[in-house]
Amino acid sequence: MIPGAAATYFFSTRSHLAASRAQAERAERLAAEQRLKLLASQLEPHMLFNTLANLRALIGVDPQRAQTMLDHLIVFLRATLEASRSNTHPLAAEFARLTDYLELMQIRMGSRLQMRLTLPDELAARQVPALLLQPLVENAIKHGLEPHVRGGRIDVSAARAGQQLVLSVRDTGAGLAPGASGRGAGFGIEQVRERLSALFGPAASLELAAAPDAEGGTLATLRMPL
Amino acid sequence: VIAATALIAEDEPLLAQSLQGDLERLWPGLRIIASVGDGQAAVEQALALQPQLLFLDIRMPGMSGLEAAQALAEDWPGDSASAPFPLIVFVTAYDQYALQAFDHAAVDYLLKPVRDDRLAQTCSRLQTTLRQRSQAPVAALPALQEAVEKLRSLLPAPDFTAPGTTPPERLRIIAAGVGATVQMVSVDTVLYFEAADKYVRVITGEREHLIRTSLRELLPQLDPQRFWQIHRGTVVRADAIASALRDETGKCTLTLTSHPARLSVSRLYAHRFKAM
Repeated sequence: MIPGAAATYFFSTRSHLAASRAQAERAERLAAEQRLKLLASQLEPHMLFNTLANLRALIGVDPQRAQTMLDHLIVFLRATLEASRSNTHPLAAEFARLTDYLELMQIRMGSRLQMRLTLPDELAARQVPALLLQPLVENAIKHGLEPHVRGGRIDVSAARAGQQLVLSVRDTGAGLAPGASGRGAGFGIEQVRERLSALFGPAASLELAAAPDAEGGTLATLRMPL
Repeated sequence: VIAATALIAEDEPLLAQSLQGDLERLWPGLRIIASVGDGQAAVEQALALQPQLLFLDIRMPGMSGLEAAQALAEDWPGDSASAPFPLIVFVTAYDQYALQAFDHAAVDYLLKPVRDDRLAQTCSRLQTTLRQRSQAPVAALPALQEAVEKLRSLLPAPDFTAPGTTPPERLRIIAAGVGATVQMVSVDTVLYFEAADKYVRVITGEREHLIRTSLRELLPQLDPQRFWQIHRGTVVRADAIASALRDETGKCTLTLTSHPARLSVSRLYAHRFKAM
């Protein structure tokens, strides 16, 4: 019965191959979906079109300011596209990119958005995953300040605590809703956690909590080894 | 040149100024009588000033443009002496789901950045409608009814969950804090829920509780077959309704089986209470 055995072997190998090919295809599709989701979350169409609308309005009334805004947008877009390739950059560059983004948002939101960025000189050259803080700042605007009629302030700061680098993003906005849905487990937060865990394992963490003072809002604290 | 009055609701100051400038340039007879930055202010100013046209941004702090339009449809005076319900143009940067709904409801909308030719088209549509209104004045009430029906079709379906999100679990027990204790209230005993600022009042046969959540967050956790929204601020358990009374102006009021409260049904939800 040798031919039969050979045929069985042939078929089982073929089905095995088909199964592993299907698995590989699925993994590839998942990875592609993930990349697409990441890019879509970074280039949020609502943000992009509103920014372009502001730019269009500024060109007529204040061309100088329009040009400044366009420069911020260009740097922001370039950084966003490059950051999808999971590289690192100095903390000073991270803060510069956040400034580009916040300047854009400030032109849009006017006096409803104030900001304060604090980066000690001794930490400026530290390498960090590119645009790691971006989703946290976006969340602070989207869930913290945008729903708040009065708006508020965003504080981004870096500090050293022993052998740890502590980065924090704080807003004085709406605050975490009781039984908050979305903020702790949203795609942006999940993505930051995944990047941290891939790079540092359990040595890094991200925590979201109500800001501990009278100004209210939300505080996101990110810790990683120095 | 047709004279008209308009209100603009847009939270981004540059966009509000620019829309106002573009409108005044393209439509010399148009007077912008108010420009506000959030949905609540849009409702208040529109009720106070009764403009003929509303330009409502969709995403605004507090109350969205869509919610503002629906609140206006609930509160607009329906008597014959009042101005007709305003013509509404929604303005949005990007809302793929909303746009399909707008097309379906035959409501005009503008995409940001707003192009001159597109804005001119909107203006000429609005002028045509205003001209028709002035030549053959419709009674205020049918015009309001038509607007209500359009806006009703823009209400989210009770079971709607945004694509990519999981529907929330149905609530069975409400944990209501009273001082240091927490009362466990079964939803089966709730007669109705009423929005009260950032809280919701939970009314049962015996007493009432205050919970720290908004009606908007609570709604998706309630079974829409059993709990019916009857106003933007009221959700009633269908089994607890005894009767619906309609007065001569068409206003609808509910009585309950075991509670003296009378609940008003807004125009947006009144269609639920037509006799079979």
